[in-house]
Amino acid sequence: MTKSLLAGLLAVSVFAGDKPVELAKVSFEQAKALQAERAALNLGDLSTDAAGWIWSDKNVYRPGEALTLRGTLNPSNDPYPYTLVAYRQNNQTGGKFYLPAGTGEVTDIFGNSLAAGFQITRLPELNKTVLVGAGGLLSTSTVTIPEEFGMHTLVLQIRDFTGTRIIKSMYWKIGVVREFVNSPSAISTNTTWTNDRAYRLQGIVQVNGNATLTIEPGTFVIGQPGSQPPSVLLVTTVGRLNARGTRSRPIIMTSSQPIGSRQRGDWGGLIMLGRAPINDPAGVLPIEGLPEAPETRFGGTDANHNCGALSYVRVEFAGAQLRPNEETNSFTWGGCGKGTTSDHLQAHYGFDDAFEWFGGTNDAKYLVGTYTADDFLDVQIGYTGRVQHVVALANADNSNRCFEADNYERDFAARPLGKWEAWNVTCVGNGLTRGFDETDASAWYLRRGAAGLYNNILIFNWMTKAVGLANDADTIRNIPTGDLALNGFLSWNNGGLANDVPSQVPAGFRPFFSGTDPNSARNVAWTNPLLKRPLEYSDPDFRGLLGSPIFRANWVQPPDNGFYDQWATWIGAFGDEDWTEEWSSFAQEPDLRP
Amino acid sequence: MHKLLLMLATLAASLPAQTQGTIAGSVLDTQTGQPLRGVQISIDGQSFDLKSDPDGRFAIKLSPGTYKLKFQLANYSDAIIDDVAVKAGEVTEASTVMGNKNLVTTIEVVEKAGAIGASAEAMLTERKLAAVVSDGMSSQEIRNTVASDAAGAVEKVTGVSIVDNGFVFVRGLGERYSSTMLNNAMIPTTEPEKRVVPLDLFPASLIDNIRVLKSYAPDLPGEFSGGSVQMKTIEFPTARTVRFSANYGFNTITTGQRFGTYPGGSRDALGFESGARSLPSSIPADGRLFVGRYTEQEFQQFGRSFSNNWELAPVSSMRPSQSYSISGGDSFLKGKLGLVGAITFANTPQRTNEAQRYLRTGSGGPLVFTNYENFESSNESARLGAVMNAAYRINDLNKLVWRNTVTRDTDKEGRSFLGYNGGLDANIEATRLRWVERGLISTSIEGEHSLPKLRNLLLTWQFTASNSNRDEPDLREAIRSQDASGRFSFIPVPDSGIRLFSGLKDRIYEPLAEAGLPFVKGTVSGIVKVGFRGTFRNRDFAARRFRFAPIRSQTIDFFQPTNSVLGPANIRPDGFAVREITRGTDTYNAEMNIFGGFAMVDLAFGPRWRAVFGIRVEDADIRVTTIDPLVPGARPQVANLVNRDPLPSLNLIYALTPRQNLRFGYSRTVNRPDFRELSPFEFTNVLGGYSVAGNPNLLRAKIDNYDARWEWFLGGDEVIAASYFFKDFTNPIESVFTPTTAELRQSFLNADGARNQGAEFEYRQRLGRISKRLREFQALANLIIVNSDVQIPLALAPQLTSANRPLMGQSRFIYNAIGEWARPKWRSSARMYLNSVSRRLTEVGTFRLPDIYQERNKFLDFVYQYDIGEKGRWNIRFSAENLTDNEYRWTQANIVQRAFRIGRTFSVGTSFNLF
Repeated sequence: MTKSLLAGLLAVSVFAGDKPVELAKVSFEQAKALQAERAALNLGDLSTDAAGWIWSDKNVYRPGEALTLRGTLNPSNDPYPYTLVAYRQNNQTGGKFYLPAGTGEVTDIFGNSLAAGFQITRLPELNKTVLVGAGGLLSTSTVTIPEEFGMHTLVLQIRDFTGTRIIKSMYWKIGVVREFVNSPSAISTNTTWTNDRAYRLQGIVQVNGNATLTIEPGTFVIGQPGSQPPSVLLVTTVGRLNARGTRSRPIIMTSSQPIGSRQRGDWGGLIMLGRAPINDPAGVLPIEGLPEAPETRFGGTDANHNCGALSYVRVEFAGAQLRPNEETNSFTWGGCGKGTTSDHLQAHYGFDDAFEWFGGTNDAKYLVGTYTADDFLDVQIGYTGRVQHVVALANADNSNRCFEADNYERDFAARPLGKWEAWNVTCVGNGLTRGFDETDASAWYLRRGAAGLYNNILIFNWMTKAVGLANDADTIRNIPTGDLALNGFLSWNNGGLANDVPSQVPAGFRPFFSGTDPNSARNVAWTNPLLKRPLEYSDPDFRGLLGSPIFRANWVQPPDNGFYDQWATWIGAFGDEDWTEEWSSFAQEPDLRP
Repeated sequence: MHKLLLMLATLAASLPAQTQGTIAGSVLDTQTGQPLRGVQISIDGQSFDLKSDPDGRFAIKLSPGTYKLKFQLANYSDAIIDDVAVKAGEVTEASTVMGNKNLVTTIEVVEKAGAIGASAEAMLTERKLAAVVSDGMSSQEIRNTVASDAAGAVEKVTGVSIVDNGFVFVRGLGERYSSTMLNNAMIPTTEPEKRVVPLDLFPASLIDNIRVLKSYAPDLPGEFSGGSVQMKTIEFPTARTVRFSANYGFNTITTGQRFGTYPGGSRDALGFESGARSLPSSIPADGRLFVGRYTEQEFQQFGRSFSNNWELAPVSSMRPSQSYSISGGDSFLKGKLGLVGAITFANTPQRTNEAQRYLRTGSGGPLVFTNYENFESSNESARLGAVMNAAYRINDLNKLVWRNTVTRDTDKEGRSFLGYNGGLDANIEATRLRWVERGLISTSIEGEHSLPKLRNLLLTWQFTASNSNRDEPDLREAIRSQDASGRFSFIPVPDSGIRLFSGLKDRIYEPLAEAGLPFVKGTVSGIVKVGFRGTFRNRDFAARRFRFAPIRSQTIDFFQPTNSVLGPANIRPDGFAVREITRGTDTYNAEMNIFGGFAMVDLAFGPRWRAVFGIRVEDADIRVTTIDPLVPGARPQVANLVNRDPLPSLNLIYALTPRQNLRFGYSRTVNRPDFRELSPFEFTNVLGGYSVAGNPNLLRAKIDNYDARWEWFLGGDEVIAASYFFKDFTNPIESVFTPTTAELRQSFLNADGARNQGAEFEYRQRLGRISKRLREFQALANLIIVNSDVQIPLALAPQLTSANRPLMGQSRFIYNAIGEWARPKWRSSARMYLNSVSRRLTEVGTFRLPDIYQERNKFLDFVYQYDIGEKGRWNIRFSAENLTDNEYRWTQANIVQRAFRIGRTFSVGTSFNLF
């Protein structure tokens, strides 16, 4: 950047609340010159390193209620000219309402129409700044929620200086509802939860009696702290959940507590049970803490059992204890079969595991785990499904393991063997030197006879070692049989230890990592993955920088069997596209505190 | 001063009485065992105004010497007891039986009685005449053992063993098949998940005698199978007594050793909690602590209001154990009113160092998964007990008795263990601080009335109200784990940093009434009895659980000592916050109402046969209500079981000779589910920490009992007996462990069936019979051999390693061997006691893991007593307990699953009789 070009910019101070926000206006000519300089320096890349997020005071509103919208934006020293646009979109009608006027006319945040030309600015630094509401930056007058039921998205966009190209968007999803509905404790007939209402879970809510619970896209399901047993949505073996959200209208299962003070364990979580095989000799098992009944025991012989469909679903602040010493996972699948659909799921701030499979065969794709207190991918009791595209992020609150794979805790040699498959997983930790409550919080942790095929795994900045192993003999015996294999493994800066096999791999696994026999791990790299913004917790970007090794052409290609996205030949969860955009939320809760 | 002189004068005036001794005893019908009233007793041919009372009892004071007693009653053959020795200040027991002339023409009873063994003899007499098969221990025998509580005493009875903390196993059948009655009344329990009463709650010095009934008669509660333990508190003295005693015990691994205690309240040593452990008053009683209801600041305040101590503060040298007791009794109003009372206190520290291992199944078979090599617990138990009984004889026909018992037992335990935990894959150190207070208070009033105008109809009634409680305030546990550099740090796993408060109240109200009508018709005599017993029990249990959970673990230095990690400075919105983890099923109340009525006949026909038969009908209604008190308007969840059971029984007694009985018995009895076994709601056991889910479909088990016994009463306190028993269970309730996604979970089912059979032998003889030289010795031995088999439906519990197994806790054999020596000249007696319990199943294996057995163990105790004065008023006693100090050992296949020693205990004690 050139000082001469930046000199003479008109600085305008705007008071938002009691904090001044500096908006540096840039003229069109200055902007063009800056852009030309940028093109020369950055090979034409228009993306910004700025990180930001917006949020309002609530998840769910009733018409007529006042809206307070806040934002944080860290320009990350980006000196280039942009324009800023903010709007609310009704995701039912698609209608957009641009701030500050709140009309359908496209304007920037200063009210300039595109025809008149957007005001070009440098990116302002916002720190929990009120954007809409009393003393707000965009709208000082109170904005009330219109009587338009369903999901709405509040968006703050950074566009290029011409105002035509979107560089970055920040999203906040809200629901506008007629009423809050207290769910019954059992759903035994086909039921639809619509997005013009929000549903409060009271204790354990069971879907049973061969009924299907359908949740419309854009619906909020609210877990309540304080009940015992805790709020849990339990899909029994004789029930089905059809929760198909969309990118713009995800289904959000969250805490009833005010934004900014929600905590892990505010409510239980989502549990789906089916009749697909598990490897306990009884064939069925109860989930501890649930009421005892035949339909709450999972497992069976139907590998194609259909527990239902989950698409674009967020489970936030789950993990209350079902019984002492036993927390609920955000997502639990017990004995779900191939008929089950699971994609685009986020587990955010769970007290236990983000995603846990107890046996079963169901596949899952596009999983986001953020700030869970325990593990991210936990498999046991003979899980044999497939998983692709997973990102796990541990912040300074701490987490334990990225993978925690068991065959079966009580019989390490139990059959059928838990030979599952994982492809394209990115694990990013906090660089602390211990886990949340494990001293050995290794990222890829195998124990108790664990098996599986692991491919294209990226581990960066994890708490302790990259690789962990317990109950060595029973796990290692799966290597020569081909039941445990690793192909594509990139590890960098884990546990504050050196990037080599002796530092990152426990003794029992070292032959596997340095061997030459055909069953040894292949394509192992101890090198910097060069990710974009992996440690910007509330707004990270896990994609590779130019020159990142994740794109090396020799990473293994997923098989073409109808489930895997064969084009994901990179290591980790992301290529060029950020599939977490809009429907998921990475914001750390303290960052949403006013 | 004047008063003191007056007292001394009174004392002096009463001295002459001290030079006298007492003969006391009772007279019973030789066949029915009924007490005989109005028996004329003459001494050395002289007639006195001495007659037996309605209980068949009598007492007289005489100068020291040897006397001959003669008993006479119309229609009965005379009985004579020779050589009754009376010693100054002592009571000589002289009890006998008399035969009805209509039935028994030729039997002449001539007994010999000495002061030693008299009470044992009385027990034998009672046993000989009992309608049912029974064994027992007298007060003197209890005093001669090293036992400090009823559990230790009853262990010496044939076929009885004690498992865990005072739970009694009779004939290899677990505590669920044994009932305990105190002064003929059911008593409430201090156990939150059980109905049985732990016998270690009763100090031995309060117990007069213990009988174990092994066959059933309709006047007993129908829940009976292994046996019914009948305890009686101290009886009314025949002379004034005041006795003090003190005892100090030195345990080789406790006394003078490092002891892992922790700071508590100022009255800990006495067993009273002084508030240091109570739930802080700022914690709301009516609602859970949860986010949303309270602010972060309030949470911080709640968290800081708990006392901040999670660590042991060991003492470097532990004191010896000590116990004290005072007992006394006298009769007033010319013997119409009898009073007896006792108070006892003991404080007993015990340290143990265990190894514990837990296995998992691997491809090569079982492998050690968790290994705690250094599992150290230090327990200080404080026990306080008191009895106050009063009897008032209105006249010869009417009597009232009022009995009161209070016991308290407190355990203060500091425990820490160190070792490898397979679940956490790390070496851990866990510290637990615990305080358990258990108590029982029982009062009963009973009356006996005989109505001569109504053909000598005998009416007895009793009303007992008992109340037990168990409080376990502020159980704390913290876990630390070791990192690669060897340093330990606190780990915030869900079972670390927890506090648990629980309280139990169990009450029983038990009215009972019986009417007996004696009759004689030709060669047939007997008694017809009808009666009613209502047992109304209710229980309240409540618990609250808390956990100190980290909010942002990054802000805490976990390497600090636990008291700092969980200290006030770290309890803050971004550090640790207290979270309530009380389950909705942690609070329950339960009721069990049983109405039992019976009719039975006790029939003697001819000189040799006696039959006791009848039927009892019991209506039982069990109801368990679980309600979450922390949720306003929560709906109660109820489990209910209602049954009516007719329970027939028959006992046949054939007198081979006047001293030999053959007995046969058949009865049908029941075993009902315990409260929590019925409740389908999963709850977490406050004692073991595992989950338990009851089974609302449980049936009560039915048991067919068959008994045969030959017994030969050689005279005095000598006996030889052999028995065989066979029990056939229909739908026995068995506990099974099933896996869940987390821990193993305990549940209950009705097994297909079970059988239990065995033989018992008892031998008790004065060796003077064999050789004069051995006349100072007596030998006692008993042995039981049991074989049992349970069939578990495999479809219901497929994880079980063995579907066919012995009953849990059943040992194949148990024997006791006792050698006694007494030389009156030296005023000395000694007793050597050997007990052996063979291996028994303690945990059923799952997932191809072998079953866990507690291995055979042998115990050897020795007691020596010496009377300092001629009159035996001051006594010194030395005892050595557990001389073998064998390891208690549990094995799972070839792996030692658990092992510890408790050390040898050497005690010295003294007792002093004021009169």
